[in-house]
Amino acid sequence: MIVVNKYILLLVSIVLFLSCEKAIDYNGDELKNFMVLNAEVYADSLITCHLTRSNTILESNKILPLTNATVLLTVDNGSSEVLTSDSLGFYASTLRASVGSKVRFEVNYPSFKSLNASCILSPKALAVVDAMSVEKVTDPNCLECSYDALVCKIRITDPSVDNYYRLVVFVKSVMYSYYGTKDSIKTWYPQRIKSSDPVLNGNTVVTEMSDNPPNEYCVFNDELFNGQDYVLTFSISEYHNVDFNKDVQFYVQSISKDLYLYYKTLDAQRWYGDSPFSEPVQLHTNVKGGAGIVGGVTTTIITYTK
Amino acid sequence: MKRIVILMIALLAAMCLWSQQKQVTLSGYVSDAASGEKLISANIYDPVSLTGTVSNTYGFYSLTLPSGQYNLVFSYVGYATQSIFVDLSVGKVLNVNLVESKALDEVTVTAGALVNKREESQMSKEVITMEMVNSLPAFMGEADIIKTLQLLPGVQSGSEASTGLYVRGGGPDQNLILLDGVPVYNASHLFGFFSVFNTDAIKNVTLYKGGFPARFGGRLSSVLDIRMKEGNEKEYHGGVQIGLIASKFFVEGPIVKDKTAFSISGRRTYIDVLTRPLMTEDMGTTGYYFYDFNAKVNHKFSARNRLYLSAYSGRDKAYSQYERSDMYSDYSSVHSSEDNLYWGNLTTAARWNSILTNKLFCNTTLTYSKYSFNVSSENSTFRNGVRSDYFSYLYTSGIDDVGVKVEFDWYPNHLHDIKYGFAYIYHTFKPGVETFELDMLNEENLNRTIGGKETYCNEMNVFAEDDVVLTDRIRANVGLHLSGFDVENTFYWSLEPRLSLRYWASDKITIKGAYSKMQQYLHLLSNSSIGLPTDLWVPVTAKIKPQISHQLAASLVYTPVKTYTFSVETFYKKMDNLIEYKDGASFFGTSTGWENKVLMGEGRSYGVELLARKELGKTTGWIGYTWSKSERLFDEINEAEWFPSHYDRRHDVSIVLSKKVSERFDYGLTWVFGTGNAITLPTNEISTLSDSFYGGSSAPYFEGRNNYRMPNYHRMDVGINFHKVKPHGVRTWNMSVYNLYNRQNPFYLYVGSLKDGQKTLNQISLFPIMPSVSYSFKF
Repeated sequence: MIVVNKYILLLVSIVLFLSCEKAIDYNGDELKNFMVLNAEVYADSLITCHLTRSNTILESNKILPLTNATVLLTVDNGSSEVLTSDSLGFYASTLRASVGSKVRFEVNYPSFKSLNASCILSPKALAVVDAMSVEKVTDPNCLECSYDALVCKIRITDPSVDNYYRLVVFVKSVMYSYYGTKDSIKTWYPQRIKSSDPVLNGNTVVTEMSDNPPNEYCVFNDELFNGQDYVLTFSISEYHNVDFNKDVQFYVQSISKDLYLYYKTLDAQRWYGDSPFSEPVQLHTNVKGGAGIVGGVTTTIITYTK
Repeated sequence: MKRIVILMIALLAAMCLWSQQKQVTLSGYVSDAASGEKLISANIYDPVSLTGTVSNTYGFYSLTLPSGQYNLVFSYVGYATQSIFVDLSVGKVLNVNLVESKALDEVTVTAGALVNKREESQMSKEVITMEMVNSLPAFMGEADIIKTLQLLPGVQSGSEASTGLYVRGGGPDQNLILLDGVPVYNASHLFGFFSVFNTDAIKNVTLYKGGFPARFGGRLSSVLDIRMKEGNEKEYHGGVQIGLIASKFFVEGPIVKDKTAFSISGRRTYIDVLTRPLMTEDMGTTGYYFYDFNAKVNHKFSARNRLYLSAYSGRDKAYSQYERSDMYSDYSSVHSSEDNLYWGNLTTAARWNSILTNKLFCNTTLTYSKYSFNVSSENSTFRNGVRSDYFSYLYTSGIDDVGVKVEFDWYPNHLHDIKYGFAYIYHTFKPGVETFELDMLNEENLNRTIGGKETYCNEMNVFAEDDVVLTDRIRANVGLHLSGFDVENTFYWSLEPRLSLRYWASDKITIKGAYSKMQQYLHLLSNSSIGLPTDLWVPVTAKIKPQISHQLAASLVYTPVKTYTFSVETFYKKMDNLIEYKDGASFFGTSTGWENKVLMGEGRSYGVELLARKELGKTTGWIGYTWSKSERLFDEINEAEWFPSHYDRRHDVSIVLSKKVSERFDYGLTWVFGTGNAITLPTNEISTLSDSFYGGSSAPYFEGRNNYRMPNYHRMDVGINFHKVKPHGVRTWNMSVYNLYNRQNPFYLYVGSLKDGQKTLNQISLFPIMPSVSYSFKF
């Protein structure tokens, strides 16, 4: 379809050659700033959130953090705490939430509409490594592209309720300095995941014609394996500097539905950009009175050592 | 009580007397005296009893009256009325030729079409003549039927200079466009700036916006019934027109006088020819053109049987050719490439009209149509005359239809006009198929075909409708349309009731009401409002169900004098199973996986249309105003709340004026105003969870789908025609100015930045003031 797109864009360009452009006044409803709350709440971890002010589309300054807001955190309708912020708008608490807990934020700030949001932490995902191998794989989106990759198979045992997951892979590697000397000890680096597994591709089979977002955040649901075992297949490629003799760590995260939708829409929004031929993607939010996301994350960590 | 009984007895006696009187049928064709062209919707009536009928789409009429002597009146707008004495003691065939009135004298010309609008039960119907189309300003010198229709209340264009039709809140896929009874799928050339209909080839255009008669079906929002000229049976005529970007011709005449006639016409653009001298050898050859060709032949076998063969072929093509030769010390190299993008329609129809009895007329039509869209690219390199590299790409998609339609018009008496029949279409949908071939030295060859599964569907319908006179004041059109669609082991069907009612409140006021249910078995996958050739028709599937609409409409027509008509129409349309693309989804010509990219939802539109129109005299035109609202509801869009459809237009105004100053000079003027289209525009930029391989920690925030209104659209066009009678015909110079006051109308909006980083809302406009000139000669 790239060839077709090229032609269409060529024809559109010819027409636009006749066109003219000018700046116009914004005549919609009054543009207002509002608060944006983002928080990933991890099970058994200290709870934090980030509070910022939105920019209207005509403001060119950087997005401002909001400090000194009144951020009330409540866990399980019992423990509560008013959080304090740093200068970047990050608010930290001394409370932790456990699996099944409901976490709620209420935020007040002068001249802004109050906002609130909540999430529930899902049970841990049951996941194990099924197989690992180094193979030559072909990029489903590139006919001529093949490369060595670490092919991983993770078995997930899914409870028979709707579940939402996220997969994050880290490889223990070293950071090289600009001058080629090792100036850092081994540490875990996140890896880009490639897969033609339908579960990781919006539950559809990937073909050369596919134009789906890449699922960079690697979120998926259990629509195709609800209540069953499923072996998820994916690879991490040589292209991304994976040393196949190093340790690999898999984070299989059980996430809240809102967080799943947030990552899906964020992925789609960035993939489609501002294409004039498609409708823009609306970013999912569960924050009432503002925007952003409050999502729950329960992580199962699997470490694979060669 | 006693009075009522006496009244009923008297009524019964009168009915018995009427029924006992011998009924006699007069039938025949109403034609243009000069050309033999059949006249559609001509009036035939007895001025004494005010009993009458109207000629059908094929010019045939049948009128049953008590035996006796009558002075029947035959009238048609733009033609001199004829009063013919008929002694109806036995059934007769009377073919009537009406003479076109040159002077358009209001005294001698009866406003046939206006009388129809007041008298007929049909509502939401608009008829436009080619005279009106040709008298209005032309965009780049090309008069256009669709653009004229867009000036009517309830009809909108999609975007600047587009020939898209958006009728009463419906989409561009919801219009059944029939050319001589054959569906046309893509009715536009080059981004929809020109429609495929060459005005030289067209005889009559009728648009139904609601109150659909039962004989039509398959689309939700409108039926555009376009009839091609049949050909002059009496003498040869023709003409040529030379414009800035296109030229066209037409010829018509008798093959055998009064028996067999033909009509052919053609049009081609020559932007590619004009720009070719500007291209250097390094640039290669690049160009674009489109052409249309219409042909029609009709043959009269007998007074009762006539055969029509008609065809249309049109194609758009963009091409690029390039070749480069290089000489090196040890080898020579030749690289060549050829890229083509072409699409077009082919429609053919064979129609047989037969008068089975004086009361029964039959029309049988066999049709074949084809729409195809293709892209090809070929690149090759030769070293020392031996091919070293080769790459080719071919993309094809399209739709083929083969159909048959049999319709009967039965006129049992002057109170009933019954139409019934059936139709069947065999569709072959060809989704986007891509073929690659790669042959490179030292590389593995590649030869792949992707896609290719054709879908075969059977679409059928049976219909019956009766246009019945219930009382002196009330007339109704009652009908049923039963349709079915068979696709991949799934069968959908629908029983669609249709009802139109007309009530004569007084001699000057007519009140009408209508209800119609429509079901549509095709969807259009489209990415834009500008009619790209990549728009792809796909059939319903087991998952994606047929679109359904229910439309209620009511109108009041006021005719103070015969030259003026004022009407108010209101409508409410509910639509189900509409498709809308998921956020971000795009198609570009491939139907693969399309079901997963669309969502199904519902829609509603409602509004009021006002029209003041003058159709007779030296000054004609109309003022139209529409207030309307069109909304959509989808579970997964806009948080499941109603949002305005892209073409929701609150106010729409059109002023159309055509003035014939003298035989040598006339001019036309149009002015349109419309509320801006609804688009989705971000209102804010927000921070995101910063956890991305893309980088970036912010994203645009959209308050909702179609949350912002583009600036209002308005434009004035003028056109002037200078005619001069020459020894062998009439020459005409047409001068048109599109966008007279150079309004920069919005086409696309986006948020951009100035050099200093300050963000602004930017508007792209397409066409500034655009003058054009054309020369035509008709003989």
